[in-house]
Amino acid sequence: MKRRQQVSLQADADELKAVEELKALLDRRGVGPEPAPPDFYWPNHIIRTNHAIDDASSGKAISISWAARVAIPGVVAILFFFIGLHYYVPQGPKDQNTLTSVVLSLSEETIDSLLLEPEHLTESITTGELHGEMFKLSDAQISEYFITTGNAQTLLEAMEPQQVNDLLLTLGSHRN
Amino acid sequence: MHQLSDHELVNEVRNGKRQAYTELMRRYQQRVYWVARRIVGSHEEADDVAQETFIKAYLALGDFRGDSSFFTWLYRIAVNMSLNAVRKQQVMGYLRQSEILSRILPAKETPATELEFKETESLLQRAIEELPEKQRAVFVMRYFDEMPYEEISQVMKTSVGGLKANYFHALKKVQEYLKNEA
Repeated sequence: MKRRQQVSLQADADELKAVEELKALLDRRGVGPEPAPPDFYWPNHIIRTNHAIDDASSGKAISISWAARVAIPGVVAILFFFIGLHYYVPQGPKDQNTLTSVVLSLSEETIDSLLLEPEHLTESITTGELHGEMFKLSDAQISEYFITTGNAQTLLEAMEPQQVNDLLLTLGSHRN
Repeated sequence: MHQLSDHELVNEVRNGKRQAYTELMRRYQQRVYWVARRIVGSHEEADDVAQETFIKAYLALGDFRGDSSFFTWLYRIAVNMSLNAVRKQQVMGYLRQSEILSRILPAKETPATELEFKETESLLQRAIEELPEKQRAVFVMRYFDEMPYEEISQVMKTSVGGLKANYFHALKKVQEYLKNEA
């Protein structure tokens, strides 16, 4: 116990000495403190933060996840597509273009191109299964979207800390 | 409001009084800002981190059980957010160095907020940025904030002994950097 206390005291003394040496070194080098923000920054920061808290907690501002930003336009388009297929019954003159007639005139390749993951389609896939498939985007597709549109910063900010850690480790090992 | 303790203010916030949270922000915004600033290295990033810290703390107030002081709990959030920001900076650094991605990624933008002020990164800050991120956080908390090791231990979830060794090595590294820099 006594030995442990001695070691601890010695460690504290070593630390104190190292801090003094560092401060002396900084003085000799003329290194001053970091420049502080101007006085008006602080109340302004509180105001901005309060507004951000209001947005975050009220639900009035729509916080759209990065996946939803990509998925929503596609989902809306496909939703209307299926609404037209399943609920619209063409009436009236035959020369009037209807959604169904237009859709039915599309080639199979064109219809497949509207789907997000056409490679998952099989001949036996049901409409119900298709609905489920439509609303899924793989992480790779979303990532590719952001990288090719130059929006890696947005992708990065939306990543979970563990994902950032994993990415950092992978990038570091590739560099080495 | 100014006479209430932190725990009393937290209870006021939980009872729906937002001005109590404004008082908590007023008390700790500078400390949160500076710990972020010294870890992430720039005013712009520190501004973001500080704001995100207070937002996250507000939304997570229900999880604050009072086991530690409110400030220690808030500080832990600030340190974690700062370290996340550092890691993201490192990833962006890697991506910018990539031959292919550097062509499609936007160049690092100069901040253009009305609150921008001229900051000159000091030699000490540059030395600190050479430290591994967790060691950087320990150095900032001990050297600048003079936080007791027991409190740093609560923030970093590391043993006091480990922290002391870590800090001592950080001091030596920073000294070495300063001596070697012209």
